Amino acid sequence: MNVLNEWAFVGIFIAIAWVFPALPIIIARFFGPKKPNAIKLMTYESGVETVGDTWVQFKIQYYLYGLVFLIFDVEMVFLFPWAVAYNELNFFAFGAGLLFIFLLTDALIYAWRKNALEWS
Amino acid sequence: MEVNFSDPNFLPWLIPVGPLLAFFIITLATNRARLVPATSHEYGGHHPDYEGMLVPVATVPSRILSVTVGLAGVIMALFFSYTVAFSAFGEHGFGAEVVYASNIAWMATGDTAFRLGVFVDPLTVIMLIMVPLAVLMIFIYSIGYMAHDPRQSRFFALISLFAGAMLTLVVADNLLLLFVGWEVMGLCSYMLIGFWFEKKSAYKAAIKAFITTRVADVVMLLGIVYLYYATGTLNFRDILYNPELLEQLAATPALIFGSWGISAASIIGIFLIVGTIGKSAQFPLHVWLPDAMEGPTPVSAMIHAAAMVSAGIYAIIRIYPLLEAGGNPHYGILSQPMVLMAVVGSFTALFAATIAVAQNDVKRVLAYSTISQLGFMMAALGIGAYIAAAFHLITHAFFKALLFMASGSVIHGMEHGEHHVHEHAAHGHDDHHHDDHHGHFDPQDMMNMGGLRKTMPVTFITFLIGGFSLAGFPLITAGFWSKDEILADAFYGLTKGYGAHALVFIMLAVAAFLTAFYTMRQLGLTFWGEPRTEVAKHANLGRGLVSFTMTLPLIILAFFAITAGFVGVPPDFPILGPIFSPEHNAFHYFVIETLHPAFQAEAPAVNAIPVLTSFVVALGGLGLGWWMYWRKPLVAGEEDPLVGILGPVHTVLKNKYYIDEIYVAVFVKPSQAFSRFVIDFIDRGILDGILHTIARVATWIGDLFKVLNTWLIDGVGDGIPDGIFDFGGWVRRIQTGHVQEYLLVVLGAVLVIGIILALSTGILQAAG
Amino acid sequence: MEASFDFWTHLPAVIPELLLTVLAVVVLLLDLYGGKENRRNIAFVSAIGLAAIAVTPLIWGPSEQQVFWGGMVRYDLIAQIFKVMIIIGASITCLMAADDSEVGHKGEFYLIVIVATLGASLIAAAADLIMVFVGLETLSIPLYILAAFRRDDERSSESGMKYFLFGAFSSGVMLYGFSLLYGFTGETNIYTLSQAFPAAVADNPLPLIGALLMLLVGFGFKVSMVPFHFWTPDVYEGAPTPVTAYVSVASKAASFALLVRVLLAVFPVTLVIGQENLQTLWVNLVSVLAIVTMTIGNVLALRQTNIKRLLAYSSIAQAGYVLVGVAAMQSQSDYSVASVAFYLLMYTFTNLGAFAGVLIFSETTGSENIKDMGGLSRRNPWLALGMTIAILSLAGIPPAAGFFGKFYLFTAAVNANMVLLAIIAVLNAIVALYYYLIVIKVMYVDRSQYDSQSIALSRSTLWVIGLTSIAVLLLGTFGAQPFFDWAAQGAQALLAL
Repeated sequence: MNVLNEWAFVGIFIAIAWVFPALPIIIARFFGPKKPNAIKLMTYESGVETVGDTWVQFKIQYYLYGLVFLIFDVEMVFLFPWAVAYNELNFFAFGAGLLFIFLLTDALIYAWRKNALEWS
Repeated sequence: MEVNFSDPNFLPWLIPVGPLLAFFIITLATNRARLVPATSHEYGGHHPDYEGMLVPVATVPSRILSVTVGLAGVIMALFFSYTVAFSAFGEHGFGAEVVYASNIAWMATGDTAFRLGVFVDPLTVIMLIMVPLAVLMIFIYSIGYMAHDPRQSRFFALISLFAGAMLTLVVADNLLLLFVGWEVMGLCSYMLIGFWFEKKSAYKAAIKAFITTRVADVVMLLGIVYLYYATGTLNFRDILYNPELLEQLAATPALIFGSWGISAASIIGIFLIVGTIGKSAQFPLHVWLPDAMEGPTPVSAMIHAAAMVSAGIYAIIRIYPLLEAGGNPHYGILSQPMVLMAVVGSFTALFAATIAVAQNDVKRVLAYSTISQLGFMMAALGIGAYIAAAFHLITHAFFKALLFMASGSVIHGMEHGEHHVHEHAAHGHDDHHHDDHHGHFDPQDMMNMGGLRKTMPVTFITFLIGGFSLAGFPLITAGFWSKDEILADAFYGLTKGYGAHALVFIMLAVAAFLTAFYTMRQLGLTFWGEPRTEVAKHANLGRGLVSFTMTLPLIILAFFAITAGFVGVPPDFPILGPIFSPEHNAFHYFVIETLHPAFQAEAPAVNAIPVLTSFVVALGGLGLGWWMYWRKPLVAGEEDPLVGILGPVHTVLKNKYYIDEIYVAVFVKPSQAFSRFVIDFIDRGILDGILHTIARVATWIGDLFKVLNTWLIDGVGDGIPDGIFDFGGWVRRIQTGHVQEYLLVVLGAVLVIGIILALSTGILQAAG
Repeated sequence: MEASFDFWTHLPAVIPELLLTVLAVVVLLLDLYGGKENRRNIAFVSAIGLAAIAVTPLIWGPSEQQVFWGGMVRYDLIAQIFKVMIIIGASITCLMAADDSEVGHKGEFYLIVIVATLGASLIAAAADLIMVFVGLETLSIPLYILAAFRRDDERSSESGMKYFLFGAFSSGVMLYGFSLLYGFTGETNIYTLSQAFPAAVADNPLPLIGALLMLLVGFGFKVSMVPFHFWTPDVYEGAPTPVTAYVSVASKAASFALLVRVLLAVFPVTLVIGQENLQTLWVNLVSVLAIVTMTIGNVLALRQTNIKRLLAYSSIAQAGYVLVGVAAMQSQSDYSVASVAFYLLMYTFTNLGAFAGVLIFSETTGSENIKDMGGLSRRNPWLALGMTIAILSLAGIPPAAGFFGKFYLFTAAVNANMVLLAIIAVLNAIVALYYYLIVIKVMYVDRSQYDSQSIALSRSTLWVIGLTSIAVLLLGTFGAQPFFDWAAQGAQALLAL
């Protein structure tokens, strides 16, 4: 049972994690004053009423741009430590980083050649 | 071991390869056919006319290719076989200390591996001398015989497979591989006997051959399984060259049958013998062999001489030490399998010989003579005449292949003559008359022949040689020497007062007499005298390739039908002995090494009585035949003199003792009746009756019984397969196509498994 | 990186993966600069390239098992065997795809197949939980894309989506299992984990049981083990046929390789915690799952009318047979591991052959219904023959390889004293015979509306059918023992921890 005792705080944490947010909501529900009127119940989102249908179609390129951006953005994270520790690196690590950049470039060329970067 | 095909240990692998390869090449590549109307003359001969139907006919290039490929395969087999055989002759002590063998681990079974391989010992060598040669002759003969058949390519493919299977069986080093070859041959015989499947009699014969041998094969497989169970190996050398193992087997009581005093060795032997009784057509499973001649004649030669039936005897000779285990035939102690063989063999020899006497169909006589001669070999093995049986197997293969092909020539010639008469008649007479004549004519009936020696001289001479060899014409024919050796061995036992030997000696002597008689009768009816029909007058083989390929093998085989016997002349035989066997009996000396020294036996010294018996029965039978059929040949319309002499016995013999009828009455009809009974009575009567009753009761009593009713219909009527099927349908409902439901099920399953695991390990209890 | 790191000693362990990367770049560039008319040739470049790479594990075979790349990759014979299997499977898939009208002319298809193969090849040798996860995702994500490759086809998109959701879910569960293992031991290396257990979890096996279960969910999904199999029929049916073939073969082989390795290394026979032998636990669990998987797969296959769905259920059942071999690993004999490897090897060829046949059939007739296969033997006897060989192998009838595959698996079970399991497996094989033989019967005996329409085989499909058939026959006759011995050597390498 030692293990469970050692790890019991995780369980306690989970329980508390539920209790903490739930408690204020419940308390507010019971003790808060409720006086609704028409204006209070109106939709508010950035303070402006929507005009027309909210289900508009975005240009598909927007989506592609988004995806490509996300991928390169995330992969940049991998390059960051490599760049920071650049002076400490041996040749192998340097080569590995270059290979990584090369493959990224490959992907970029691919996106470019397949016209993913054209807006129209 | 290094794989090296110039080494005779590995060469046997290549022996069956040629024909097997030929089979695949012909089947896959050279079987092009074009469609012609079924009424075309190209599709004539053995096939009925189907109006308005297109049938495939092999094209000329594919015919030529198939024949070439098939021949090449056999020649390859022949080449490798003879290379192996002759290098074996050069080995000192071959069989005893030296054998050619190599094997591969085929299948790991637990700690040991089942090894498959090839194995050549003296017995294999003599088979390797005989089989490829006979097969090659059959192939050459088939070129002519099948030249106009629409399915010639298929024929060569199948017969190549047949040859390949036989050679596999011969070089196999264990019973399982032998059984594989055995079964492939069974399949080939089925397809080849039914080769002209448009004929009802052909496909019925094919089914008959297949079913009959299958019954025996199942029993044989039982024997193999038992042997493997008892010894843990199926390798011939491991079992048969190991007297301690055999003794131990003979001392172990058998499973189930042990209480009746049968040892394990005996029951295995009996099971294996049953397989041979089926394959080598011994009584009572001989019924398929006479019908098997519905196939093309080369197939008959293949089945009767070179391959199928020889395989049965070969298998028995191969496993002989196992059969002998527990007894010693040279001291008159016979094990149960040996007694079985002696009785079945000698009975079959005599029984088939009597039937052959009364047959009028030229091939049917030979078919029964094959059964009879196989009986000789079986009986010989039953009294321990191991070498004599092997010797007779070889000589018989040569003269019987010769006889079958010669009779095929006769039939071919008769058909040729029929064609001639047909054309002639079409000119001179009105069609009605001709059709009438055509419909009733049987080119295989000896009563329609006579005088063929004039138009078919080569066939006559070779048939005569083959026939004399079969009859055992003294001194100059191969059949005499091998048959004499069997009789000598039997007589040797007789002098010691052993009952089985006496039985075998007397039965075989009578059978040999009948053999000589019916051979002479056949020769007389076919070739002597004057033609009894118009067709016979015009019967000939024509000229050209067909005629050449159909006579060349006859001449070659005729040579062997005479000379093959001289390798086994006893050295102490007066005059001839010193000439042919100056030092020792060559065949005996070579083949005896197949056996472990513990089983070897010396040939008995030449004794005047069996030799004289051989003389008397052969010459007496031939003489009687000459007296009845040659001295005063039958003329057209005359009745066979035998009918008058034998009276009602003749009718019985002619109808083969009504065995087929008995089988139909005892096995076929009852099983048909039983299945009809099942349908009529059990299915419709009882089952439906029950269901109806239950349905009625259900309506009376109510819902409770309705449930029962459904259950009964599901359970009894449709059975388990439907149950599984329905279960599948029910389970399938889970597969809704909604991924969220799937995930829910997965989650549920994980929880359930987790809880079960946790509970089963007792952790929760501990925690609680 | 320690100073002693020597690039050249570590290199051979990942040569196939490096070459696969190079091939991927080459294919990508070919697709971009090769011109439209040469697109079809990409298939052949990929197929030949993959075939060439498949040879490299044989050339640079390891002399002894060792862990490389900072404990990420284990370099042993069994990994090499599985790599060969996977890469050959990918190669044949590419060859097969060349004639698929929907995916064959798209360069990306081959690129993605190669990347998936890279992932599969990595997990065959993975020796670290991180590598396992990276490899699995490198395999899975391309497969999601491939399943949905026919964008305009509803079924294909649906199957891709389903596969993705299922895959993401099970990946998540498995990752949670990994995190449990890591959380308790602070180790991620498969081969050091088990040594850290006794200290970490003392005498309570509960966390390990949880981790084991979660791992099984992840692997169960990949190998379509019941009850994690639900995606299989839908994805098999909806995905383009070459993808289906690939999923059923390469992905499955890699996952089984991993399953065998992880079970043996992380939960070895020596691991006893709180009087509870962990191995008994997973052996029992896997046995039960094997029985359920076989039975459900076979029973459901009985009712199928669509050939791809039939093969999907059959592949579930086949996974069940392999699990029999996995359960038999309790005997610690190399026989059981070798039987699993042999089965997957022969299954690779068998299933690729079957799917190639289905592909040609559906390309020509546009139908995937079994009853429309009537008269296939007359429309193209070679195709029917190839299909027959593949199906006989699936059914386990000699002389096709499936016979030995099943024989070894069931023998392994018997040797491991699991006779009941073997009997149930044999009974299942008998049930399966029914639906397999029906397909053969339909091809040779029945007639259909397409009867007169002959089917032409292109050269590439002829190669696929021919190669797979020959391989199946070879493995079912002479090849069985040598390849099994090879697998047994590999198994010894795996068992030598």
